[in-house]
Amino acid sequence: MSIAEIIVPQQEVAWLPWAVQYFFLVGMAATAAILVGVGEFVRGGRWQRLQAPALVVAVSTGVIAPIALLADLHQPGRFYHFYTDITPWSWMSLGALILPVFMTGLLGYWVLWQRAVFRAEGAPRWLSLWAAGNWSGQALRPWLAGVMLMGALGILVYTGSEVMIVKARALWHTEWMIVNLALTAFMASLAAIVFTQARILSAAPGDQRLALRLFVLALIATGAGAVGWAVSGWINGSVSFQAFLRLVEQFAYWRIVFALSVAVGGGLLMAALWMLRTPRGVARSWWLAPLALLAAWSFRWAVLMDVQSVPKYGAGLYPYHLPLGSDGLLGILGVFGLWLAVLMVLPGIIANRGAVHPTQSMREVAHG
Amino acid sequence: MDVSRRQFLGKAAAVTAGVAVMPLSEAEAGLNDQPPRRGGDPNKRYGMAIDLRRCIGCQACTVSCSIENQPPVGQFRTIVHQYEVTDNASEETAAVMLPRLCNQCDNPPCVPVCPVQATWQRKDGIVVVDSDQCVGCGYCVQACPYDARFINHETQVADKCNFCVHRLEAGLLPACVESCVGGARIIGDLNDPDSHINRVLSENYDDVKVLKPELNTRPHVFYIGMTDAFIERIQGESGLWFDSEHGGVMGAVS
Repeated sequence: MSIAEIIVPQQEVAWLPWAVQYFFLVGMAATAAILVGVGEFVRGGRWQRLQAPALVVAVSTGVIAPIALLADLHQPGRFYHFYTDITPWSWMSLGALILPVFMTGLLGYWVLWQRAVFRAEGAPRWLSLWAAGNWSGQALRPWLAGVMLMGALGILVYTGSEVMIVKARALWHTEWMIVNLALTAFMASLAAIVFTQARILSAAPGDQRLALRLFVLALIATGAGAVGWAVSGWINGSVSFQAFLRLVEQFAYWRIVFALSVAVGGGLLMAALWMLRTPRGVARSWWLAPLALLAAWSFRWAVLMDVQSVPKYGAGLYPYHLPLGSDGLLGILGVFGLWLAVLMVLPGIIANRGAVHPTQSMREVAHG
Repeated sequence: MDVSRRQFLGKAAAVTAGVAVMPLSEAEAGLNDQPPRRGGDPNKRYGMAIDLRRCIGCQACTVSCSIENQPPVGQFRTIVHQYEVTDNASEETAAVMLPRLCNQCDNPPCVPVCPVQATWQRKDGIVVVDSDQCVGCGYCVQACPYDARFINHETQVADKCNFCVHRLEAGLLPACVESCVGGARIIGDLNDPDSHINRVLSENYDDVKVLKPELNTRPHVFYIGMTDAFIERIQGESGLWFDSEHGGVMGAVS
């Protein structure tokens, strides 16, 4: 018996490209914040010197992410309903509570970290209030780092879980969703840190080497996560992996997605390993960052947008055409434009390039 | 960094555990569990039987629903899917009609995901949406395994069939039932042993099926006379117009 669809409606995407932007940015913010937090508690210069570039990444992505999240609501003006009607049984509602906790920890920590730098080195005139007063505020720093770390873990758990629990989308319905979203987020934030060190903050070669090694680790872990999902899915017959096999078997588009993922992931790993061998390679490794960022972003596009084009009941795939307006291309470019705008100001503040009375090197103070 | 690591971890655990546990301890339902039902007659359980043998695919239900509930053009709370089924041996073809609507599941996956309690199940089993409360996050649209929900283009909030609850409460039949020329759609109270729907379901006991039963959503739209091939995802040829009229990229490379 063969069946052909004659009249079936097309189901539109309910999560827009804004959701891809949110997952991309908040994942980077959370994983970069974890590295900032490690620098607070693990003594040793290298981890502490990673804090400045990690803060650039965490703060710049962290302040943009909630804007993308708000825009993904079809009724953004009603966002306050999340707080007037807290819904403890909904993962998304839980996320609405975790996000401000994380943001408070991250921004609070940055304010105090920056205050230590400004108090020691002198602040630029327009930011002199940041260093004003006698209170150092440094006793609060570990507390805020703790809130930031727990918030970051909360972000990684909730974003993965809210996708994972959707049984109706078989591809999403796997615990590996949480793991693989987190690992690709680490890959992206470390790529951004490598880039920030080399091109924006002019970090020491040794520090760049640490970030590159972590980036390689994240790549290997991401590969292991993908293999873990496939192997455990194969052995247990998980609905997620079965759905993926069906898509790859039936649709060239998904075969291309699969082949590109393997090729880009493998290529990035080979290139990064090769660059790690020599100081010259480490210095040039920032070239890998745009491709790694694109890979992490594309993973989210495939998970969130491409999966929405898989009918839950019907045959084939629904067509999706990226709109040019704010629900599509303009929204994507707008978010990246906003990120770029923040990146034009933020590194100058974090590196304290406008210091008026330099008295001590930034490195000694910020990490002391 | 004048706090030792151990002291810090202790304090951090206390602070963050408080934040994390607070909403859960207040909860009556665990994460992603069904919240309590509210409103509606607790003595009733509405359900719908659709006798496919009586459906001629005229789309009168689709039209009357659209007139009654006014979804935007191109969006539907109910619609009759139509398929061409060919027997590979005899090459004989037949048309299959499959009216689709919200299944008013007993374990509706769309309800616990809603982050603002804008959608809930009434005690009579009908799943409703408060369009003034909905933030349009689209989470319920993702969670419904039957593609019964959509974001209404005009209201920008979640929309779906609610068995015309406003008509039921006024003693009327839902628009689709009222207009069905073949009498294929039967709505009624499943708690009433003498109801028309219960009679029809018991008369056809061996031929009653629901969509995707393995998901444990316990749908309350029951199909009579449905071929097994339609219980799960359609294994077949997708609607051709997806590619031709809309230039579908996804479909074109398949």
